[in-house]
Amino acid sequence: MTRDVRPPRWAEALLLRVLPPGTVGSSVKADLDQEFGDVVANRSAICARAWYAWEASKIAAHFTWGGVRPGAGGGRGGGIDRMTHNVRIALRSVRRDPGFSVVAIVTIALGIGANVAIFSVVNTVLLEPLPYADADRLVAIWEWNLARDRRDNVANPGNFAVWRDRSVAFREMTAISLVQPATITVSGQPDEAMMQYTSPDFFSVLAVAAKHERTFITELEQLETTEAIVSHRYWRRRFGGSPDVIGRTIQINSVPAVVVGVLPPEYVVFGEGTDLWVSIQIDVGDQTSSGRWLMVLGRLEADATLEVADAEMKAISAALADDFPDFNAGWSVSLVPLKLRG
Amino acid sequence: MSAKSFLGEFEQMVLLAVLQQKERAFALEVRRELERSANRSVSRGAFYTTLERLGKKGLVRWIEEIPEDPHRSGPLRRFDVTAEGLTALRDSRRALEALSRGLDGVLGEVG
Repeated sequence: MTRDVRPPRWAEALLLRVLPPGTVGSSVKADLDQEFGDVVANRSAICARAWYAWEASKIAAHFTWGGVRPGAGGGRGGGIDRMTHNVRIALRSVRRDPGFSVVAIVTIALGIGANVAIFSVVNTVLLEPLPYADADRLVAIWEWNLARDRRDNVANPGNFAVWRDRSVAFREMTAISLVQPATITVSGQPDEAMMQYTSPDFFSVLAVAAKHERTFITELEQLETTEAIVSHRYWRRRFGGSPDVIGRTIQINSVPAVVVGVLPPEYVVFGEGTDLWVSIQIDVGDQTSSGRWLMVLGRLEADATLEVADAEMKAISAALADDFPDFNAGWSVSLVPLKLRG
Repeated sequence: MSAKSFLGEFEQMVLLAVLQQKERAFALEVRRELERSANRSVSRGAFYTTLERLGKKGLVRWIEEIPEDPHRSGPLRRFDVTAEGLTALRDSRRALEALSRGLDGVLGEVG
């Protein structure tokens, strides 16, 4: 991408939810991301984002109703079959009266496109207050690829750990992974869900409390068992809203994990559509082995300004480039207040 | 694939576009080849679901390749038409040729 324009996050989340897991889904999304880069280079940011939203929606519709999504059969087959039948009838109508259909489709397409573009802006700027304590002190911290001028690159775990240790402008700093598909097995029944890895203190930094039981323990000692927190929506869908879910052992990609909490329904940050979160420890010394895959969030000290934090973080980043030139040369950091997230 | 089942028009076009692209048969290139050769816009959703359907029928297969662009956000898949896919294409072509025989006056020469 030649400019700092990202696809709408909800559209990315939609694709991650609908596309098949593994290489098939990630390659389809990567194709669209690649074409998005070309669109960004030739159109305005708002047009490019609307284009991505429109194309992602169409791909999602095909994968949802086209009968290629793994697991689309079974209990949901009746509904999907009816939907497919209805779509076929609609397509026959299109063929019978193509002139009218073209006018109708173009009208609907323009309406949806305009709504998507306008809603993306309005939703971000006006509608969504951040449901976190002292939200104006929360800052997203990205790695900045200087050569490509990409200012919102995800961060390396080792770099994050060094930022967290050395920064004095930030009272707290935490991280969460990109959203990814996972196989969740409950009582021997596997199902696909979307998950994120988090630093153990992620929810405490956001000051988000669980609706049921607790969020992750933040003490540094290594826990013997993996802990998971489920979203309110997933709790209702997969566990029938039962309080017995707390303490239950599930399998996440064949790894046992104990459910320790259920989040409140209004919780959304860095991962709309996520079904569950898994706690991991992130340590210093990972710079070269694990790539960049974390979204980092910091809470400013009461007397620290964004400008001071920015200068401090850039100095820490420059030191990291000296320490690990093969991996960090040509990279800096970029700070964006969370309330301005797009 | 059953010997009696027919390929759809779009399925045939996707298979032929994969063959045309040879070792460059990545999804983006195959779709561009389709648009170029068929001179029409091809829906990404229809294209990708057709590729998956052809894969499930055993008519195409793919291997994952490391992208040349290090900033690409995910893997690349390079497609190839299987022996079953070639057989299905030949069957479709044979049926079309048989049905077209003697109709040059109506259909004209293929350009």
